[in-house]
Amino acid sequence: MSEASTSDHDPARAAPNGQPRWWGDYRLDAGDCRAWRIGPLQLLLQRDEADWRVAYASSAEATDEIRIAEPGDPALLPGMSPERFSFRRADGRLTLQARLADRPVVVRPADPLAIPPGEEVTLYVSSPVWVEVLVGRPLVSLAEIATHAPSDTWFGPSTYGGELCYAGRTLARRHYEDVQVLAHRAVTPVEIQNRAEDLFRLERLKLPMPNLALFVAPDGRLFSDAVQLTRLSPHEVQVTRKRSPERGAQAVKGLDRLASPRLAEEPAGALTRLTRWFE
Amino acid sequence: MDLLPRISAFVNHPMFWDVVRAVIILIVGGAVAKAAGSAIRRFSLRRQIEAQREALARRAVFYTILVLAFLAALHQLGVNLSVLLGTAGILSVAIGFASQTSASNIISGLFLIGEKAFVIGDVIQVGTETGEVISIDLLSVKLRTYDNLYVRVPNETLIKSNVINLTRFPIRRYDMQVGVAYKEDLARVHAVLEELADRNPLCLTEPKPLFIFLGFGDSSVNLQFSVWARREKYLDLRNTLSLEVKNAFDEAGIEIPFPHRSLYTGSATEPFPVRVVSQPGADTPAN
Repeated sequence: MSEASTSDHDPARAAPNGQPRWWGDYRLDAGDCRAWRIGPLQLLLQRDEADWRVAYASSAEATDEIRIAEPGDPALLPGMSPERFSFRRADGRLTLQARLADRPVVVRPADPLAIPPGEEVTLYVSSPVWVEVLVGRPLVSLAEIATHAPSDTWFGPSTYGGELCYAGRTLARRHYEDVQVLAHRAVTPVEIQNRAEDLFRLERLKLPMPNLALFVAPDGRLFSDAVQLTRLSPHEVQVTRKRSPERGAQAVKGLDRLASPRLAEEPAGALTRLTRWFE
Repeated sequence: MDLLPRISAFVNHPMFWDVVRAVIILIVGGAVAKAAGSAIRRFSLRRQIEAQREALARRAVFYTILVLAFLAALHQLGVNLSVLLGTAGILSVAIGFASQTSASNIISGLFLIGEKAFVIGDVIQVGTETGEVISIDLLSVKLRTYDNLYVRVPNETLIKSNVINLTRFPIRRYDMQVGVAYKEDLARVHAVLEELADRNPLCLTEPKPLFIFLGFGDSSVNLQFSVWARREKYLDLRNTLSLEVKNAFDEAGIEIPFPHRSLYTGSATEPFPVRVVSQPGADTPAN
């Protein structure tokens, strides 16, 4: 098997703390098969001249392991139901792109959380990232796979009016230092201001992931744009997207932008009119 | 030969050219109507307009152009349209009496389209028939059933009967009824089912699964476990959940009982005959 040339698994591309960066550009020679392990996701890519095969499987066990472009076993492909993509011309260029979830993520705090009137807190909430497989020049997207497929959930005032989202639980960490460095989950800083006169009980929190951009911090943590929630009264909640986590969380500096929001930026007015993002 | 003069007379007759013009108007009108219909279809595909609206707009434009062409052709032939319309009024009363069912279907069709209880592409259930709506026409609605049969349901039937739209809302609930043995701890059964729903990625986290006690049955405690799924994943959930419940109950030692019958001997009957057999490895015969 020929060696896959890649700049990404060069030690120079790893974060200072050694956190490997699985996203970026690779090159696979004809007949080459490479495997990635990105947390619970096992990804296998094979190039056969002008054909690409993409196969993946998700581990049931919670694992944070990251392995990058290791020699893959083509014998595993048939058991992983690979998808085959045929091109006119052979091109070994491959890009793995980190993306945020394609639907909003609804998280519940692991413990009930209440914010007294006049208080302001920043919570760090994490959600799984997606891996987009792109090949050739110009880049053609072959697949987009969740590193951990979250459960579906419904968010809305009734069972016929609402939106399908992904479900998650959060420890709602208060401090940046407490956020675990994981290369397969992105952290969204959420600033909550309770300007109402009563206690704000936060039961569910809907993170508008398709509206947020993805960044990587120098220490390898993945961050999304920050979200600011201002509760003006029991019936009025204002939600705004910060331009980057830097403004939402003062601790996050020196970010590199990895992916733009999936949805075109909404006008600020439209975003602030959404009142049922938080319950 | 006197054929030529006859042809010449025929061609030179003022009515001949009127008929030719009328035919040309009809042909051009038909072509324009067809082209307009195709243009609407292409436009709808490009703009991703829903099939129902596209079909309505296409038919409205097609028939309007066709009727206008027909009227123009009649005008070309010298037919007085006002007289024709008066005749049509009388004729329509006569036809109305003769075709009450069709008229009723047409009116019902207009109400159906206006009410928008379903659109093309929805899956509906009417009486015993369940299928995908493939067209909503003036007289009837056409369904394609899951076993690929073509079913024509008159609009009048749809107006008069209950129609269940299975694909109107994005999520659906699956009610799984299951019985467990009387000896089982229901709290444990509940916990096993909850965990199962939590592990199954097709089950929605919210709305939360429901655990309902249905009653004390003849042979089992009857329960209902209701879980929600995305509409597209409903069948998958239905199939996977039943298998998972069976496996989980087997693993947890929870019995799904089949009907039990207890036999008693009353004072009026003879006692059951008992045969004593020896068990392998036992010293004494079992009683």
